[in-house]
Amino acid sequence: MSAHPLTVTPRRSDADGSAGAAVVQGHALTKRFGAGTSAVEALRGVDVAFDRGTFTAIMGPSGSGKSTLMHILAGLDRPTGGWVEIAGTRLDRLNDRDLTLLRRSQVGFIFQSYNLLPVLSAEENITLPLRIGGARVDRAWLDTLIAAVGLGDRRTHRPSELSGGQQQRVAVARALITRPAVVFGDEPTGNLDSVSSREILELMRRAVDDLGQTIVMVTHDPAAATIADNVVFLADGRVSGVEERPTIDTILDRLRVGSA
Amino acid sequence: MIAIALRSMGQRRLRTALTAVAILLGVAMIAGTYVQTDQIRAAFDDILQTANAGVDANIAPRTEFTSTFVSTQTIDARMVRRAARVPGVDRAAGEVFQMGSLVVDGRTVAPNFAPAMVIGMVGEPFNPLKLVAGRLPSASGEIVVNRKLADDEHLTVGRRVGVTSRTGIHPARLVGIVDFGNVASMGGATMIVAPTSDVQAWNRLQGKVTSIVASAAPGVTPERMVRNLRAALPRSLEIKTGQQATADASKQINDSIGAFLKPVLLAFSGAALLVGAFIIFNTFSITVAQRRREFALLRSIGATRGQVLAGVGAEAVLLGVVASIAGLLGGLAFSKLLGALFDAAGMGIPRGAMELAPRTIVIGLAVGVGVTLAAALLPAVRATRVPPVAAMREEVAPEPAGTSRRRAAAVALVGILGVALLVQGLFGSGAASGRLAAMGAGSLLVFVVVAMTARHAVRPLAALVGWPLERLGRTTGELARENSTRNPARTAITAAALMVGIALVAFVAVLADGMKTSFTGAIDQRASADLVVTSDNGMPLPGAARDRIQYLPGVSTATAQYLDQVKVNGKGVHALTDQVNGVDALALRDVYRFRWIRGSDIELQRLGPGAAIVEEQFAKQHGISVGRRFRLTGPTGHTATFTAIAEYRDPQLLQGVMVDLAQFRALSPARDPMAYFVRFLHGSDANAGRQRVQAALRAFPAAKVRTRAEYSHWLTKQLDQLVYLLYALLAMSVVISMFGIANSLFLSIHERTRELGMLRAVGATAGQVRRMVRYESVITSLIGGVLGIVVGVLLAWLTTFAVKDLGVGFIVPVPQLVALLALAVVVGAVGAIAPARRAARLNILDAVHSE
Repeated sequence: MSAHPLTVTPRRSDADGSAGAAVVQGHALTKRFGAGTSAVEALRGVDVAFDRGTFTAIMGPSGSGKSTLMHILAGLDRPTGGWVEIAGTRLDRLNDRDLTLLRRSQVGFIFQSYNLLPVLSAEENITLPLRIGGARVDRAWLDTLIAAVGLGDRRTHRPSELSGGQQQRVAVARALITRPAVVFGDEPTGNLDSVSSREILELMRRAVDDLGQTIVMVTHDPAAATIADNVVFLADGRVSGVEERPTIDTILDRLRVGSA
Repeated sequence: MIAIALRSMGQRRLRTALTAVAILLGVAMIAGTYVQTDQIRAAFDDILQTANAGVDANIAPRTEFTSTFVSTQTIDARMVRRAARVPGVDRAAGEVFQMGSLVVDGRTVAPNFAPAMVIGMVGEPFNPLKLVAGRLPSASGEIVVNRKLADDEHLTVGRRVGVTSRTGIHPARLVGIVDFGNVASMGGATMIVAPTSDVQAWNRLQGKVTSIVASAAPGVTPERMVRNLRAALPRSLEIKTGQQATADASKQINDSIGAFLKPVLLAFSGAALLVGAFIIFNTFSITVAQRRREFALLRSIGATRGQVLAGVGAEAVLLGVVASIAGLLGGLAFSKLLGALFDAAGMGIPRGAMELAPRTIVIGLAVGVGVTLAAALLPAVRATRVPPVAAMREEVAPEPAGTSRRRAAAVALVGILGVALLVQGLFGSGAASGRLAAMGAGSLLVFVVVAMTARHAVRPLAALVGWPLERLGRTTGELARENSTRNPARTAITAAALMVGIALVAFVAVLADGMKTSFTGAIDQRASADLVVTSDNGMPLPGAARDRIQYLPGVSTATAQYLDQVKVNGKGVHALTDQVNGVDALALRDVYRFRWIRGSDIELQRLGPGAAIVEEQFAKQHGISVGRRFRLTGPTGHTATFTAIAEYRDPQLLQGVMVDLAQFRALSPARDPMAYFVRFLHGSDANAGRQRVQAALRAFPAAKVRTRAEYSHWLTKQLDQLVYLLYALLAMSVVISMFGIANSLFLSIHERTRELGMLRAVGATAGQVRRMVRYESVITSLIGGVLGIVVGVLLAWLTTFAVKDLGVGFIVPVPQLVALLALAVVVGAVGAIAPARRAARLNILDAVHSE
């Protein structure tokens, strides 16, 4: 479990952008919302890289830019400056359609509020990204995932017939079904009780350890962040630190420093 | 509460606007109907007032009733002098009014439905003409025409033209161009004014006039002069003051508009309003469901149920008022549209200035606000049922279905009532207007019941119509179908809105096809004439024409059909059955095959004084069987008694009762037949024969010569024109339902913002999202299309069943119905354009995080 070397290193140049083990990297990212005197600088030059098969948490106080960073890394939003590369593809060179297709094949999402389609069954929700792309469903992989998330007896249930934890497990399986280069989690445990939270986090951990999945998760819960290989701290739109193999204490220390 | 209502409408501007459109268009149709009919009436009043300017007394032949068939009753011209000598009369003049068209360069200028009039010139003070150019006719062979006719035909003073008449075409010279007083529009009517003696001579009316006008001497009131005239002139003349004559004629025109045009237009407006009501109901239902937490919050901070109700009610009233005011203005546009529609259909109806009469405003507002409020009532009551605790709960509860047993009972009750009304309308006895009203109300209730129960059919129907889309769009299609069945009640009402329009179109299509087939079938089976000669506008043909064709080489028989309305046994005239045919019975046998119920061709020889052959419907209507005696009264009041000697069946071509020509002339003042039927000699060249007949009738351009097949085709085309007019009026309902589809899609998209965001995040392209919305829309509209076709065909089937005596068959016009489904697809696709665009444009980030 601890055998994964983790680097979350600020990179200086783009020359070796795709050379290393980094699956996702952001270079000199800035993001400004609004214009003129009311403009807000959400990101003020962030350089990050996430290696294949690592689990990273992004933390920071409200308004630190962590959600903005994740949205930009995931190709949901475009930076004002700098660029993002996912699995060797520069996102700033893609038009909206190609960006969509890249998201479809290379990016998985787990949202805070599950975001399942109520009209589809659990299994149909899991395979949705494949079917949107018109791709064939790999039955073996689907069965593996459903078994892994423990929904074998809930395949045909609709979201309204599932608990919050079960719904989020569906969302995890959905994020993994395309074997994406990276899965982003946006406060994936934010709506769950502590038991369900634990289950989901362990599920994500296993995805990294057993399947070699890369996961980047935004959270404000230090307990959740301890399951990650490392934590990137943001403050005022900048990376304020990186913590490898975090513990509750180190995280809380960092946060205290960050907000001080 | 009202402030909240205002603000919440302001916030949902698009939704408010779309909902408003639903009611706006319905109100516009109602208002437009009134505006248009007011315009028509104003124009006729204008014409009547001009015609009667300077007329203190009007003297006309007394009538028992007014026949729909044009027949000239005349007065001996010597009466004019007698009238002039009556004390109190200053001047009197004889008027001659006939039908006749202008012939320019050998081409006859014939308006389609509007009258082509030839009028004898009268002197002052009765002359209503105002010269625009040239002078008034003073010598034989001189005429003037109305300005529009001159403009349309590019005529200038001095031009040589012709005038058609009962005796053929007469050459004339145009000496002037006139306006009819200050009348703004005579519609498509054309007017030729010639010296009275010419009009008399051309139409074999020497020594006769059609009416007499008189002016009072100074100091004599019109009323006193009329009393004097009544005392001095025979009882066979009806004498009125000019004012009374104008008022009577105006009332008659108003009645005839009120008898057909207005109710038909209002019925179509009603359909449009029903569609609007469905849409308003749906919109309010959805928004009330979406605003559950808002209502709960209001309740939890102390608002009473009544206040919540008042809040939603206020929104409905406000919406109704604003939409109705806009609808009233739209009514002016709709009136213009109607006018253009009538003109396009060739009905040149005169039209005065547009005006929103106070009555129109009151009706428009009352109907618009009333319908909006009624449609919003149920959702508003639902809003009051939201418990305050719902404010604290996360989930948005589904729209409550209401206690299902009570609901089922209500649906059943409405359904039974609807069917009862339909049956009463279709099979009941009583006045046609009452039965039509019952049918209309019954259909309305049937529509409501289908809308209320359609929710149960949404799932299977969506599976049915969604299947091709799923093949086409795969996941997108599948999601679209799932989405459309997510809230069956909502989909059902949205589809029901379209159903109404589609059902009425299908109804018209099926009936029209049945009627066409019935007519063409009747012509095939009953008629054996080689040629049918009629006018295109239902006017009689010159009686002189028969002499010209009867003795042509190759012609074996040429016989005429005279037609007029009659009263039977003193009862009111029934439009469908109460007409008398004047025929030459033996000649008729050559051009027509009787289908006898009682009797045979032998009886035709006995058709003489006191004998009549009755058609089945006529016999049924009056309870007359063969051997029974009955009394017929013509429009002039002439009465004769007949015995039914035989009974036949032909509800299409020769309705009513048949008597021989001498008996007909005793009953009716009509001197000209409605049609000629020509049979060629066996083995003669039909083509050559037809050309000879055509050449012989060249002097009577109104007489159109057609072979049996051509006549059949022409009838079909006439019916088609009417059908297209009905379709055009129904288009409004379909357009309104399109707004309804757009509206409910917008509302659904609003609800599903987060889902759409997720779809985009996991890789659905904007195009896929657009397609999904479009497919969902098409599935909904196809459900409406299928329901509409089923309901429309069923209603048509019921109707043909009810009138099967009239020979209208039940034929399902498959191509038209398929075209209707295509129309439904188009409606769905167009209705989805804006919502689909919005769904695809959603900002993914906002969508994913939206509450």
